[in-house]
Amino acid sequence: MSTSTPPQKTLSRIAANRLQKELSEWQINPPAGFKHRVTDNLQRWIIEVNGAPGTLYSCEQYQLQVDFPENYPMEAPQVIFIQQPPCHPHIYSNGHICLDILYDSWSPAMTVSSICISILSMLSSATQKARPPDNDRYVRNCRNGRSPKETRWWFHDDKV
Amino acid sequence: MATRSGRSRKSTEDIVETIKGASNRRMARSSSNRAVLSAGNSPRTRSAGQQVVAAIVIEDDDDDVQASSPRAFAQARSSGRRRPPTASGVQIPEVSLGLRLGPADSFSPAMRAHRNRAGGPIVATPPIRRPLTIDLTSPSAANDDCVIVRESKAPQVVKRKIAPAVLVEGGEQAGQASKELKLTCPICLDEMKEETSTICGHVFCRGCIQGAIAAQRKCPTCRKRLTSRSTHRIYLTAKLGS
Repeated sequence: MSTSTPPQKTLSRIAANRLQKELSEWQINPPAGFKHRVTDNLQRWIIEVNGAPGTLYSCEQYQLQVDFPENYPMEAPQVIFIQQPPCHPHIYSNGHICLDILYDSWSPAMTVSSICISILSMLSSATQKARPPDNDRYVRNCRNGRSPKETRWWFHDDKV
Repeated sequence: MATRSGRSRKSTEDIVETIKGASNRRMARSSSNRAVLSAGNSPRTRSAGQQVVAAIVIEDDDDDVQASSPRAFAQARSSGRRRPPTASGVQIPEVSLGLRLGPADSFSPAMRAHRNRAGGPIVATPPIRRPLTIDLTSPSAANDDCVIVRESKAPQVVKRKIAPAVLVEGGEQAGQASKELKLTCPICLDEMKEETSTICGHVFCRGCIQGAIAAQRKCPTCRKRLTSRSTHRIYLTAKLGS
């Protein structure tokens, strides 16, 4: 279920420097439960997620795809689940994640590492495995590989 | 009682010494205390004691007089028991009598009024105004507590000054021996260049925060709404020495 539209523009010098810093920091101190799959593409990171023990997603593995815009970190990266996304009330079956820090509440002081921790926290606080109620309608509207960053999200639930 | 009499005897020696030398003002002041302490309770002996005070006050002809004589007076008042007159009044004939008697007459009425007051409002007389000036430089029974406060305050101030420096040094890479303050910008994750603070107190590179405000109009750290004028350059000293 990969949205494989590659980012159009190459990274700016500032963005490349910052991503190099993030990557070396990740290699020293990766967030617990995540594994960066090594590629030569700095602009697209593939990250393996392991469900936290003692939660609904324990012993399950998922993959995140993180695409960085040209003017990262001023603009948020695009973060989606690829292959089989977890069944979660805020994760659509096309891999899009309804999480405010990926869109409106993004801050340039956030990092890939902090995003990963937020996503794992969101997974871990789920009380039931279910798709969002509007999953089918939303996925239908996103047919031609639209980025979740173009979605006008409504962040209504701060419990899960 | 033995110690008291010993003390008063010592005081007379002090007085004699001081009046002879007349160089050390602090000595003169402490001796004036003791001279009053050794004064008796009968009106006649009291006036003798006051004469001693007056004599020393004249020796100390500068601002210190204000500090010394009221304290001595207060001390004399606070010491409930009055001892019989010692030779203190007698043993200082070296001071010229004219000098001693002159001021004693002028001082006695005011001091006696002060001593005799039973809640009577004597407001404008000098003896009431004077006790406000407490001499902290010479520790005595009257100002012991003041000295303790000053001593206990000083180390606290030093601790507060040292603590943040230690924290910053520990927060930095512990392996590095350099004492230079190195800050990391939360936006570029690189060494801070042209440190600039927002009005909410968060510090970034100048270029980074300007870009962030242009993009989002809010603080990257706390999301406070900001404009390009909500920042200012800050200048940090690089050295974190002692």
